[in-house]
Amino acid sequence: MNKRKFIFLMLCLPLIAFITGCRDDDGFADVDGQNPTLSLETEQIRTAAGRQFTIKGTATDRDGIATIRLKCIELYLDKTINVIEIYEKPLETYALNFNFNSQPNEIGERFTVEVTVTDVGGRSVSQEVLITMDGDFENPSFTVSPDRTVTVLMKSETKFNLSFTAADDRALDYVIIDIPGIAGFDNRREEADGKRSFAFSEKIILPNETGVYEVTITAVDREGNETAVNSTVSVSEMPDFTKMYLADVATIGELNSDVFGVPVRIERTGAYQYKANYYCREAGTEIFFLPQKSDFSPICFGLDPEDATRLTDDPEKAEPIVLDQAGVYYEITFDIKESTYETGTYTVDEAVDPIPHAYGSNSLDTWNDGGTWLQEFYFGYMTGNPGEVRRFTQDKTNPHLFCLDDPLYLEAGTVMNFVIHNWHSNGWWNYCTWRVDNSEEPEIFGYYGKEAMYTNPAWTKPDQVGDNWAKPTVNVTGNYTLIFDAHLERAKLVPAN
Amino acid sequence: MINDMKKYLIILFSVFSLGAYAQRITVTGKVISSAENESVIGATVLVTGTGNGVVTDADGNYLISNVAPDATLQFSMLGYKEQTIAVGGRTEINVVLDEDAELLDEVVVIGYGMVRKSDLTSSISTVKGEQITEVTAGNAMDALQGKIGGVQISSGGGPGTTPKVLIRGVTTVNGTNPLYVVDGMPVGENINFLNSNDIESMEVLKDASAAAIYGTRGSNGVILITTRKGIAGKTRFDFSASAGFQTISNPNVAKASEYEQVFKKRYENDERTSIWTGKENITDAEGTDWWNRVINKTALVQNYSLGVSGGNEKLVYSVSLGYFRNNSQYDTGYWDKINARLNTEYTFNRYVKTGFDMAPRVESWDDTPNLFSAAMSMDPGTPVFRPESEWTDNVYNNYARSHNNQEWNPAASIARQNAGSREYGVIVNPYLQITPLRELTLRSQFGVNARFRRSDSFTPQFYIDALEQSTLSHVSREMNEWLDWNWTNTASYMTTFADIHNLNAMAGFTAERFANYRAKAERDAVPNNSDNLQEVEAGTDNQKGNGNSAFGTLVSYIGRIMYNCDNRYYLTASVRADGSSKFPTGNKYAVFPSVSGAWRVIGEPFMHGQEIFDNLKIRAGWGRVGNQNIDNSAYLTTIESADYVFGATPGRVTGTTVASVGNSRLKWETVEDYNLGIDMSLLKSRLDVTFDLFRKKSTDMLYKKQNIFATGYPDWNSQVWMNIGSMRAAGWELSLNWRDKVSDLSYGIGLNLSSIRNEAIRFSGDGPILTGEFHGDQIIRNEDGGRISRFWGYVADGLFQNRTDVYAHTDEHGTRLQKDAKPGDIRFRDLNNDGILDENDKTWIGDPYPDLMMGVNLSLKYKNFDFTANFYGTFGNDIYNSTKALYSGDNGRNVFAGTLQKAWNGEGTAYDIPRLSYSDLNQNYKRVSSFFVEDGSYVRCKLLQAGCTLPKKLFDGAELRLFFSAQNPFTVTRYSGMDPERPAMDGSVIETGIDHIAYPNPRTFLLGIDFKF
Repeated sequence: MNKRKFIFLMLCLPLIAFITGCRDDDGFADVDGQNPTLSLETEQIRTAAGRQFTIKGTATDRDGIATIRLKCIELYLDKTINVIEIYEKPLETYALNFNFNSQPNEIGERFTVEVTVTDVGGRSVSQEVLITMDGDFENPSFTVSPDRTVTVLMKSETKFNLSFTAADDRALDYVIIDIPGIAGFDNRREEADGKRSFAFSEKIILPNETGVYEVTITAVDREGNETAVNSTVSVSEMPDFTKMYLADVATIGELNSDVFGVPVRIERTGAYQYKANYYCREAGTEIFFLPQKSDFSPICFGLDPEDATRLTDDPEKAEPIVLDQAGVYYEITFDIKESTYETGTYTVDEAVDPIPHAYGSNSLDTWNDGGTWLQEFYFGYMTGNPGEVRRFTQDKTNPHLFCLDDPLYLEAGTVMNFVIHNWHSNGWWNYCTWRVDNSEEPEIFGYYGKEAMYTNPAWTKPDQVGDNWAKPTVNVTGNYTLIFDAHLERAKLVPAN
Repeated sequence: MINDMKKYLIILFSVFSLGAYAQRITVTGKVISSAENESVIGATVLVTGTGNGVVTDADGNYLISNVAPDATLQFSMLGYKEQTIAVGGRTEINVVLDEDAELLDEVVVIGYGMVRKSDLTSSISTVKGEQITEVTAGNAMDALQGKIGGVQISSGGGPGTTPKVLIRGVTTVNGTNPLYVVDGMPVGENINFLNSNDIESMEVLKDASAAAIYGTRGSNGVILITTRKGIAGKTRFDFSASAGFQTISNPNVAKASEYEQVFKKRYENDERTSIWTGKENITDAEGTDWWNRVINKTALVQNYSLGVSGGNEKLVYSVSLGYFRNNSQYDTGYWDKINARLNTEYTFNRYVKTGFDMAPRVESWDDTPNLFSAAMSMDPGTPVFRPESEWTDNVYNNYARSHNNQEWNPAASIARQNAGSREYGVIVNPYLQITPLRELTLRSQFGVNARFRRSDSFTPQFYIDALEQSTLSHVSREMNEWLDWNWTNTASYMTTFADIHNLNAMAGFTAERFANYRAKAERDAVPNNSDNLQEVEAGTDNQKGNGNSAFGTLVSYIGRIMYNCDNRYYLTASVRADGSSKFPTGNKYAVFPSVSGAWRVIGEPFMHGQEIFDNLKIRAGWGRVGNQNIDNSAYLTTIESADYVFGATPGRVTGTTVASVGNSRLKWETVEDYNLGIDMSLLKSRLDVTFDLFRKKSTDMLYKKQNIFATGYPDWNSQVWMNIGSMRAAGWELSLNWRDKVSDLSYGIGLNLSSIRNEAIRFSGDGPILTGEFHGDQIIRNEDGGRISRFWGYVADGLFQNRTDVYAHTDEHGTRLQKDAKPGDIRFRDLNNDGILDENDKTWIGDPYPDLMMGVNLSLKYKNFDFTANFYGTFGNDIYNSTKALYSGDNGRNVFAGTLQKAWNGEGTAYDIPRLSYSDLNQNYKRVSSFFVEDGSYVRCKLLQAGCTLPKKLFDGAELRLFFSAQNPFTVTRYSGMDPERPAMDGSVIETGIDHIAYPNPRTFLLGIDFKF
């Protein structure tokens, strides 16, 4: 290379650098050099806190769309859709379909989302969408409602106390009560006046003859969302109830507060005959027996005030059976046809449960091989695998009674899905299990000892579980206490104090 | 007056001369080298025209009698220019030999022979014994780190740790250690047993043209070790001693108060109630510093060696005795060895010579526990012991259970640690050499390597907690005996014809046998933990016994021809035919050929007269080597005992099952290797340059492939060895060495660089090999056609700093990619933009193998003072730093000090360490991601040593040198873990580079003496 060539090359180098440096970084040439256009489907979207809303529209640009930005500082939204990165090229038309979830605790009422489309030439156009939080999307619900089947006994005056409570997250409009054949309840409309909760309670006089009445209650909110519950009311002589419950609470609200049902299911031992086992924690505990779960009416078995040795079925007359010994199990047998009853007690030492080892002892046979490695045996609330168990605390007085020290925070709508299981370091299953297998009877926790060797030999009740887990739904958000009685095979999940 | 004097002197001289002529005289003197001004040992002093000759002793002195006063003495030594000096009646003649630049000065040991360095046609590097003993280490290979290009040596701390040695990369997954050959006898893949002070030199055969003579075991390179031999002359004593201590850095974990805050913060951030056990608001003073409680600040290391050597023209001998001990940083754990060596050689006459080497040794060690992780993770709010009121007679029960996590009490673990071994071994290596013709040498060598090891262990019964206990004590004893022998027979013929044609031919036969006898007995439930009952016979339950014998044999035929024309054109060809018991009939034998050539350009006429080069040689080589690092029974289908469960009431029944599926077509794994190199010496031999390019590729790589299920074998034992894999390693090495002398200052600077790229061409064809478990996922992915052991995971793209960041991390339709993310969590990239964060978004996030390896070696000597510095470094390698999990506090583990400040705690507070979280729903610490990957490049000062040699007159001619050494005194790195070197040592070649908090390389400080007389 001679000197002249060298100088020429040196002069050319900056020129080459200049030319290459001036090119569009992305290398996209303009087609028409016009601004993009944006057509949104709507200028306002009604939504609600915790709900998703969708911004839809169409962006076009002949030069090619590079990005679309959606911005609303108040909603913490600042999203840039990089079209080129996603599609590896700019698009002439882009169908915007962007979902965003507002926070459940969002307190603002109106928000403006700015949508900006930018093309490859850096030209942009913006439009705004107004988001308002006044939408109503949830159906009303019933926190108290009649059982699906209710039996009313024929009396001199046959009456049925219809009670329910409807609720809505925003505003109830009205409630329709329809009981064909009953005067005054032919699609009777009760105005709720935009309240969030509406309680109804009225005594209905029924014809003094056997019959069946279909009750339909429909709650409607201001947006027209509605929810209906149905109940079949039978008027009859005293029937031989297949199910009977023990209630140890005083109010309808408490009666309906347990996810698994506060009224404890008790055993039917023969025609019109029942046996209830109950652990009395405090002297003076008052109990009733109910054939329906949700109300003390229309039938409530309690002491007849005129003859305390007999039972009455009239909720207006019935007085509670008072359990006066604390720290013992009661066994109460009664006959609803004869209106008789008997009570007896037995100690916690006499009570038997299926637990195979002393709770908290070093006795878990880790490998099921006869005990080459023993670890601590305990059980508790389990939703995933036996390696992760929330440990129960054993009651100091009653070794059959267990509870979770820390309450469970459950949101309304949560579908419960758990079993009671022993802890195992490697997550092995089915050593010592209780679970609910019948959605109709979620308060019964059957024991499932995989083998006899994992069951207390004194426990003679057969395994009473199948393969299905019952999954009751939580109605009211809050903290709940889980209490489990291994002797009674009953669990309560009730609001924590 | 002057004339008279002259006459007098002439007469006197004549008288003495006549007398001398008649009497014969004895001449003494010393031979030293001009370059280094040091004694030349083993130089030949010959009276010209006679058979009368001697060699210089270890001090370079000689004494030759029966010399005619007018005789001529010839002084010669390989590597030096020969000198002829007329005696002229003198009785003392001191000679200074000049180095012969053409011949160079080194003799290099090669497989089954020895050549001048100038005659080499392959890639061989030499390290002298004195360079090895610079470093006080249990394994001599530690001293080679950074001294030889292309050799990656990765060490770890801990007594008796064996460094991982990779010579020119990786071409196999079946063992990557080189073959060690001590004085011609292959001794396996570990030289822990060897006393570094016994080593005269180590030659590393790096390419196949050098290693092919070792055939089946040469694919990972061969390291030839020559031990010190006696030199005729006066008896010489060498004593060296060094002692000092090792220390490792404190990783600085949180003290009690910060731990408590972090623990609770994790719950608080997740809006959960913390489950804290123990005293609330604990102070640091109330807590336990587990690191300092468990890890000692210093660990003693000591090394002593005494050698005696000497002999006469008939018999030379070298005797040595050495003791080395290295304690661990724990209260338990050590390794020591006592080595003795006797090397003798007796020359019967000019035809027959014999030698007998024997090296007995005793090694002892107590197992070193691995409790670094436990010491770092243990709850610092937990005391070491329970309250005294809770103590029991079983002292192992008295330790406290960690209050807030599941970590076992490391102090208790140390107290219970009780396992150790003692090994007795001897290598006996006699030979007979006959030289019937001057050109022909016949040699037969029979070596035996015998070892016996007893290993005892005892686990006491204890109960600290339901999750920290051993319900039964356990005692075991294992006995192992290894008996290997090797018989090597060679015939060498060396001649020169037509003045310029030099021929060196060798043929031989070797036979080897390897045997291992093992037995183990164990029982549970010793009545108590007393020392006196720690015997198998004292166990009362679960008696077990097992044992086996394993044999392997190898028979080989070897041959090599080395030819050069006029010391300019070189050609070497070798072949080895190996037959191994590890392969089935029909495939037992394999042939491993090699050929290499060199052009010594400096010898060409056109180079005469130029003054730039003192040496210039170009080399090229090709060869095939093999690998047989597989089970002895790999080609056989075997059965083993197994338990089955039968019956309605299930019970265990002992039976047998298929243990492995054989392959009757199994054959050798072969590596084909190409090497191109250039050797230069410039500037009056002050600068030596060597550059090599190499590439090697394995074929028929042995690999355990999953058998097809149709065969009916269950998947856990149906893998079958097959010749299906292939790997490739390619790279370059550059070595620059400068040495000079300015007045009284002599110095040397050496730099070597190398770069190697390892690739897997094919593994089994069963898809990628995923390995390196991490929370149920795998860190490492090896796939056909890619580099090995690379990290495969998600790309961590910083931390979400606020809710807007979190909500913006969606697909184009607003679907959140990380639904559980909160501000402070790691943002992972959706690489394929499909709106789902899943396996398809993983990519290569790190490579544990370095792009460049570097060694720098400095030496200075000024009068009686000397200074040495060695540095070693790797660049471009990544480390998967799983220790970063110690910022998470997961499972209640302790955290690094300062975690409260370093972990994200609000917008802009941190950009690397995510928020503290109890549940870690975003999987910040459970997902394999680039968050854990760090640059593992480092430069480590391997050695700083300063010495002073006291004047000989102070010790009546004896030489005493005092020195101070600092090994690994400092490391320059950006890596945040404890040691950037250790992860490279751990794991196989396809599962390396993960930091598991293993024993780091310690800093070692030593004082020592060398005493010679």
